[in-house]
Amino acid sequence: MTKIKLLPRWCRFVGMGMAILATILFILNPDSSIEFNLGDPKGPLVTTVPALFNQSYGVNDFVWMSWIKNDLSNEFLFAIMLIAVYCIAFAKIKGEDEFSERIRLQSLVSAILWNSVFLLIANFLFYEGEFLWIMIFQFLSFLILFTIFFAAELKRQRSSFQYEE
Amino acid sequence: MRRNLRDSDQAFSMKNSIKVERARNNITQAKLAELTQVSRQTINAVEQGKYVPSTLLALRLARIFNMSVEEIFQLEEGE
Repeated sequence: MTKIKLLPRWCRFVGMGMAILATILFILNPDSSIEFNLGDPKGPLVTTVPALFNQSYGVNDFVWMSWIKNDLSNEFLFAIMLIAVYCIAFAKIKGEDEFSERIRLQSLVSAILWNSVFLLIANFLFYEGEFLWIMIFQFLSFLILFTIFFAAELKRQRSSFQYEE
Repeated sequence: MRRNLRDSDQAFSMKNSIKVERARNNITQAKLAELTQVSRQTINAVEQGKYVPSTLLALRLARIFNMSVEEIFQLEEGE
């Protein structure tokens, strides 16, 4: 029988640790969470990196495949957060079986639906540069919504558990 | 053909006699969960009719109770 490929259970705790770490890093240096290439980048992890596409508004035009100077702290912060949320969302739970797989599927469908509704509303409420924030948030919001729906449904199922005499 | 089409439109649900068979065989939910390699929560959900099990699980349950699948699971016509 084909089963959904999931991460081992311990990954959930690793994910939680990484999420806490990313949150602390964000609180310590909120400016590093997003940057626009305006002038020389400043930050703790400024280095020369390959860029597939680069356009620094007001500095240079559209450039394909070049080396640019960039502060990597926001990239690392985002990567840590993305991996953390993925680990929390797709790690096995205790007693993972076909019933929990079905709950996963239902939660995934609900998460996609509500994420799309949120994006649709945001499309008419946020414009230009502000919409970039929404797009960044969208990378995580779908996984966060899935985790919330899945945990809520599991809790609901456990609360309706009928104990035998 | 027309009749068949109409029949297929009708909604069906499923009832089962797992609780009765468990009592008859003196098997707890935990033991049945262990024998079928699923969680106790799953057995509970199947018993309550909240979850329709996979064919594999239905066959495993039938084998444990030494019955056919159709003796344990029956179709019920919906509204």
